This record gives sequence, C-alpha cells and structure tokens, in this order.
Amino acid sequence: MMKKGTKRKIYLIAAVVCIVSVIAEIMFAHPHGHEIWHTVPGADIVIAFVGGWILILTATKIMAPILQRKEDYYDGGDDKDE
Amino acid sequence: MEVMIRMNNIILHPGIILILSGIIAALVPEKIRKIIMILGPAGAITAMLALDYGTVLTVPFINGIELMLVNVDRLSYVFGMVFSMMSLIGSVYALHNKGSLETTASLCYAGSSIGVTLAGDWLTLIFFWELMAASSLFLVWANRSEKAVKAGFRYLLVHMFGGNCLLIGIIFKVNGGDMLISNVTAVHDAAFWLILLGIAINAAIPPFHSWLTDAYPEANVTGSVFLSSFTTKVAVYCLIRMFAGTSFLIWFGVAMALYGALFAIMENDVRRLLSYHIISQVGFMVAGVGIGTPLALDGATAHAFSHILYKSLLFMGAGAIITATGINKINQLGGLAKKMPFVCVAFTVGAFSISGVPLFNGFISKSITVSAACEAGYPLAELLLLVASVGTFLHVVMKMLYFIFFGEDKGIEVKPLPKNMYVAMSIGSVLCILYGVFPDLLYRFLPYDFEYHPFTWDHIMQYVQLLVTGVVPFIMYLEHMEPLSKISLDTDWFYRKPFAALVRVISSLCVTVQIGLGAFFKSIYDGVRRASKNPLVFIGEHGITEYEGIESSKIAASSAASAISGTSADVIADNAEAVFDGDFAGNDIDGKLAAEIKEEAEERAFDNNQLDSADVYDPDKEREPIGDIMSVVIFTFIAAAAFIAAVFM
Repeated sequence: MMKKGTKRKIYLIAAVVCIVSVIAEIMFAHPHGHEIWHTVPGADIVIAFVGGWILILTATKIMAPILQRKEDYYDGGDDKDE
Repeated sequence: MEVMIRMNNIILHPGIILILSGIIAALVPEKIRKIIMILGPAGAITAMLALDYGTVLTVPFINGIELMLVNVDRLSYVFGMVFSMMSLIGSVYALHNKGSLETTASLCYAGSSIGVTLAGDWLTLIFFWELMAASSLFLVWANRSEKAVKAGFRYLLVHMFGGNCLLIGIIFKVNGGDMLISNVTAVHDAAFWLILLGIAINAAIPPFHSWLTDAYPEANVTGSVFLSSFTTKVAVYCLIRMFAGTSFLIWFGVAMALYGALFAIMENDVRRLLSYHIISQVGFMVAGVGIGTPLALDGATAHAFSHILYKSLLFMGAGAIITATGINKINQLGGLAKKMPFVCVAFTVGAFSISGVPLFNGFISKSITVSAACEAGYPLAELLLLVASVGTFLHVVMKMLYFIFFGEDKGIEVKPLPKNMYVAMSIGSVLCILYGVFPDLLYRFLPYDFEYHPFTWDHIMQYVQLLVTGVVPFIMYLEHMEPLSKISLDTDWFYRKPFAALVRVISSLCVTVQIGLGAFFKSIYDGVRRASKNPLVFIGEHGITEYEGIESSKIAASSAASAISGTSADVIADNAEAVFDGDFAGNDIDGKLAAEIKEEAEERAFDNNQLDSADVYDPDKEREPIGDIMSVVIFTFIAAAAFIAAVFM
C-alpha cells in the first residue's frame, strides 16, 4: 500500500498543477459555453473530484455489495458470497 | 438515387481480399500462412487507398436485383481505412500463432467488417453482418477452453437474435422498395425499431451489452485484439449512417459511458475491465450519434477511429502481460514496470490516449463529442460525459497502471514475448501519438464539414484539471480501489441463471413428454415391424409378440445346441435373439450366425462339461403359450433349420 508521505507528495503536485491550470485558464482561455462550469475558472476541478468520488463510492459501496460474487459463481459456486 | 457505376478501373474490394486471405490461410502451411497474414491486410490497405469517394461496384443478384458491394463516401472510407489498418496491426500481433483457425477467423472477421462498411444496399449489409458474427464466434472458440466454448455459445445466441432482428427489419425495408442503405429515422416504424435493436446489440448498448464482457476475455489474447476493434465499431458506423439525430440515443450513450466506468471500477480481470471500457467509450460515440449535429457525428467517427487504435493497444498490452505471466487477474499482478518496461510504456500510451490526455489521440476525438453536446444544448449530457472521462482515467490509468505495473511486486516470473508482439505494440503506440499530435491527419478525412481546434487553452486546461484532480479521489480511496477476487453480476445473469433454470425445466418436461410419446410410437413401430416380418401375427388370439418370437427362436436354438453338445442352452438362446432379429420371417437362419451359435456352444460345452439342471432352458417356465398352431409349426420349422445349419455349416 502507498505510504503516507507519497500520498502527501501526490496531493501537493496535484494542487500545484491545478492552481497553475486555473491561472492559465483565467489568463488565456476563452470559454465557449454558457453553463456555470464553462464560465467559472477551475470548475472542472470540482467536477473531477466530486465525479470521481461519486463513481468510486457508487461502485465500491453500493454496487459491489449487491453485485459481486465469488469467481466460481457461474461454475456451480455459492449463490451469495459470504 | 441515381447511381453512377465506375468500372473504368478494376475495383478491388478490401473486405473480400481479407476474406479470401483468410480462406487461403486455412489451406496452406504455417510459413506461407504467416506471409498471407501480412500480405492480406497490406493488400486491403492498398485497395482501400485505391478507392475514391463516389466509387460504386454493383453485381447482379436474383430477380433483377443488383447488390451494391462497394459504395464509398467519406464516412465509409474512414471506417474502412481504420479497419484495414487494424487488420494489419492485429495480424502482426498474432504472427506467432501456430493454428490456422484463429488466422482464418480473424481475417474473415476483419474482411466482413469492411464489407459492412462499404455495403451500399441492405442485402449486402446483412450478408457481411452475419459473416462478421460467425467469424467472430470462431475467434472466441479458438481458445478451445471450456469457458470459451460456453461463452461462445452465449455469444452466438445473442448475435443470432440481433442478426435476425436486423434481418427482419431489412426485409421490411426491402419489401417497401428501399434497397439502398440510408437514414431510417424519418418514420419510427417496425423496420426502424428492429434495425435499431439489431445494431444496438452489436453496439453493446445496455441492457444488450453483456455478451461483450462475457466473450471477449475468453478469447485468445490475439483474438481479443481483433474482437475489441470491429463489432462495436461497425455498429457505431451503422448508427451514424442510419440513426443520426435519434435524440434518445444521447441518454443511452451517456448511460453506457457511466455504466462501463462503474463496472470497470469493480472488475478484477484485466481484459474484462478493458471490455467494460469499450462499452464506456462506445457510449461517447452513441451519444454523438444521438446529438446528430455534424460536429457530433464527426466526433463519433473520430472517436471510433481513435478508439480502435488505443483500445487495441491496451488489449495488446494486456495480452502481453497474460502471455508473459500467465495471470489475468489484477490483484495477482504487480511490479511489472521493471520487468516489462516496453509493455509498460505501450500500455501507458494506450491509457493516456483513452483518458484523453492532450497530445494523445483520445483527446482529439473525445473532446469533439463533449463539445458537440455543449454546443447542441445538452449541458447535462456534457457534464455526465466529463464525469465518465474521469471514471476512465480512474480505472485505466490509475487502477490498471498502478496495480499492475507500479503496485506491490508479487515476484512474478516473466516469460519472454514474441518479437512480433513488440512490433505491433510499437505501431499502435506510434499511431496513437501521431494522430494525437497531428489531429489534421484524421480530421481531413472526417465525413461532415466542421471546424474544431482541440489545442485551445480551454480544452487543454479542462482536461488537465479533470485528469489531475481525478488522481485525488483515487489516492484517497486506494484501499477501496484494490481489486478483489470476485466477479460482478451483469445482465448476462438473467440468461445464465434464471433463464438457464427455465430451460432446464422445459427440457425435463420435454424429456417426459418424449418418453411418453416414445413409448406410444414404439408400440406402433413394434407392431408394424412384427407385421412386416410375419403377417401371421394377425392370426390367432394373441398373435406373435416380439417376446414370443425371441423365445421361440430360443427354443429352436436350444434344440440345435442340445444336438451339438448338450451344452448350456442359455448362451445359445441369447444368440437366438440375434437370429430372430436377423431373419425370422423368412424362416432361414443366417449361416454365419448359426456358425457362431455352434462355435459358442462348443466353447461353453468345453468349459462346462456337465449341465446344471437349472441351466436347462424351460420355455414353458417363462413365456406365454403361443395361441396359434400355425405359429408353432413355423417355429418348429425354424428349429429344424437351425439344427440343419448348425450341423452342416
């Protein structure tokens, strides 16, 4: 598993890249949409974080307990995983 | 529609070149087959390059109908070209294969896919469509494992259903006088829905998608590369051609994009994860078809083109990992970056491409569809497609790259890979980067006129923010992202469990009915058989049943046996059953059988010098009396014949 120090470094790098990209967006980008995520700089950061968070939790906390079975399920294994 | 037939030059059909190559490959030795595996696809690319927009090739069919084998426009050209390219890359990757089945199936599969793409009329389309389904089935079966065979049968059933839906829809169209393929969205009639259903199954639109994740991972690693490239993309081509602007497809596409991403997060099998990702990426294309604007349709076309290249590269990388390690589960892999650096780089190129990292080919195509959703006034669709992009990054770049190549080293032994695999992955990687850096190489071939500039600040910053921020939730929930040794139930559960149980119940019912009917018809058959052998059965109170006939033969044989050696009559009596079946009605015992009776009787007599009184055959003990004196006369005659035959032959 990943060390805490490594995680911290990754968060730091991600934060720096995001800040730079927001600055670049403010300075150079010309939004072509009318929705809030087109006009507010850095909105894609929120979309990515919230979207990724929802996807992971939906898959691992809601879908997996309902849908996941043992690997031999279709080969005569137990119907429900323990 | 007035059709101009160009016959001033010989038109070579790229698909037919591939199909013929596949057939020849089945007939020649291995060394020549390898040459054909390269020459066939190279010939197809050459033939494709030789086709101009507007080229039409027709051949006469029955009832004055002409089949339009080739009808080249900008849309069919782009798809035909990338299919031809892919057939070459896939063949190079599979060059080390020994057997001919997979080679033949893969070339026919690629050829029939091109056949669908170039088809100008419905009948040609359905012919190549079905050929595509059949040849892809053999690609699945080429693995020859029990799982592959079973998955192949499920694949066959699903595609037969889809193919028949398409066929019926086409029959409606042809009966209505529409011979040529065109957009069918004007009227939502039965033909519309049937054709859409047939194509939706091939496009793996949920809930008709599980054949893909069921079958593709069960094929050989080389077969998977082909499978990942053609069927769904041919369906996308058909959707663009026939269903452009069908607005409800937007939401099917968005659902696909998210559905594939969610299931991929849970998946542990390398190739099944990538298969889920095919569904997710095809969702972008289906959404583009639904939006229906020129920009969206070009986005769908461009994304199909890019997808074939990067998805095949990812499948090639996965295949290389499985070939080298023999492992296909992510949780059993780890630390392969140092052991397989080339594969790691190639896989990274594919992963960056699929995620839409700028300067890789996924970026120049995926962003078109997303922008088209925005411009066409579907902001929610745009937002959800962006979330699906994050999902793609989460499970392909972060999950697969991290756990397979950079995760904990499991001390896996790595076998060397065939050189042709490296060559194929190199070609795929170069093309992914080439089209990513120079998007005009692709854009100038796209079918609809549009103006799109991918390398603008807002596009680049958008994807940088999406992808970099996508790392954060992955790291935060790393322990949840770690794959488990489990499978996820999908819609195939319905036909693998409850439907299978229903089939078993129906089968047992059928067997019961069959037994009952069988007994009934057997009694009729026996009666007819007896009557044909001896019409005398109709005389007398009971007639001669088969049982009685046999017993009578036994009497005859017993008499013969007694005359020979006084041996155990049971053995002789058993053989008499054969005598009865052989020639009872004619009262003429077969000479060979009689000789066997004699021989066996003598052997038995040698073994048992004394007859046990219990062994002596007593006909009255077991059988019913024959109720007709004529029958007794006949059987006595048989006994005499058996005796004579046994003595003199």
